[in-house]
Amino acid sequence: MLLKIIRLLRGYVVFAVSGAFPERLINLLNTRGIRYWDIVPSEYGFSGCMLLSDYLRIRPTARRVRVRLRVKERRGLPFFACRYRSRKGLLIGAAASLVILMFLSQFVWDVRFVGNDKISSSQLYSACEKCGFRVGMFKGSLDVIEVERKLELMLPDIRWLSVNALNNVATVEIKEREKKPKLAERTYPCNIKASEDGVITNIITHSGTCEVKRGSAVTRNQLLVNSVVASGDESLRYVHSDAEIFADVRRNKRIIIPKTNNKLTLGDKYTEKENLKFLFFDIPLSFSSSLDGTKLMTYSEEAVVGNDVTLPLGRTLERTYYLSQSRQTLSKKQAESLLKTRLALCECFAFGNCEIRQKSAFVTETEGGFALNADFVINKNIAKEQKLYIKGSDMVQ
Amino acid sequence: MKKSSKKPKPFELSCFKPVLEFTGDEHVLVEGSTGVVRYENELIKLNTRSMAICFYGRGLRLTCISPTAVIIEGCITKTEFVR
Repeated sequence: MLLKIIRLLRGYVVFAVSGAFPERLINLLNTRGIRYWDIVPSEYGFSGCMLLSDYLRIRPTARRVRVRLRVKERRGLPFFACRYRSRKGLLIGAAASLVILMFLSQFVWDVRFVGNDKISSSQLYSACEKCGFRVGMFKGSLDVIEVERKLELMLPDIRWLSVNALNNVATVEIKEREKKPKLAERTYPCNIKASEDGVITNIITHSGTCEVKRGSAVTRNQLLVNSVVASGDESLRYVHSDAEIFADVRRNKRIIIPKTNNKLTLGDKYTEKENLKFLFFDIPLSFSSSLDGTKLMTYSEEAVVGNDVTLPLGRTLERTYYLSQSRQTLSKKQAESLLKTRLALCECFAFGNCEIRQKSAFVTETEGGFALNADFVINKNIAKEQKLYIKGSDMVQ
Repeated sequence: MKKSSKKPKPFELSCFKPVLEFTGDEHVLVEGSTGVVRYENELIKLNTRSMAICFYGRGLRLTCISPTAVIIEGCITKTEFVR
């Protein structure tokens, strides 16, 4: 393969030899140490390959031994360059591309993060930007140790990191810190009480003496699990009570919305600002004047990706929509739909870790708007720790 | 019986004689050649210091030539030594 490349770079010819004694040429070439290959006999002599420089040297020799040389094919760079010598643009283009390639290889084209699980890549990139490490920066001005040190100080959740900027794609390898599990402090005695009123549905007691049964109704602050435990030798001891007491609890939610409200409508009118992004340059492609009023802005960025590498060339588009304000009067149907959406959001956020057993909701029209009353029966853990303070032998609850 | 004191000369060291190394009937290395006399598809005739060697066959080709050695490839059917 290497030999083939060298031959192509130096240029070679496929020649045919004809005459009375073409073998004499072979012997002469051997004695002069001229290299040739692929010698194939033919009807009138033989054909073979030879480097261009050697072929020019053997022509007088061939004349002397009375054989005729004829070039059948020309291959390699010298012939290619000769063919395109009149097209100077090609040479200039090739040289320019080489210079551009060398220039662009001095910059960071893309930053990739490896090993981040809890910390998002955008969070990491913004931290990198604060340290002066960003896409489009000159690689020569990058102090890797300084960036690593600053990033470790800025992001305490990182245990170890390494910045590798050997290529145009800089890689930041990260090992995140594992958080220590919070150990429950079980050194003090405590009771378990009810955090709210309800009906007990399930009891899981880990330590302590349970004072209630499944199905019993409890009120707020009622003792559920007692920390006093009787030992085998009829003595008493205090323990740290630990239990999960699930109970059905009633809840009520009221959501009110006004009958008339201001509504922002997205209009057809918008302005666009387009920028060409090249390395760290932002070249504006369009100009637009901004108008006053309520706006909604969208920002999109497109980058050229080649061979799974984000190139430092892209386009950013900033579109500004102008919102028109109008007064809207809600019908009962619209109000119901809006209230149901809000109730769903409320369920999601307020009762996220509870099980909803029953739900009833109804919408009523009030003087100034609409109200939604919702009654829930939810099942939740109502166990609440209450510490015991013991002075000598006295127990204070 | 009296043993001859004269040791036989090693084959490789015998001067001016070509050394031929066949690999089946498809490949032959000739050491000690001094030139190519005929080069055709069916016949390759090589000159050495002591004799000429003819290789007959089909699709014969010189794959490697140096001033003192030659490699011939192809289907060799007959070899002839001409003195």
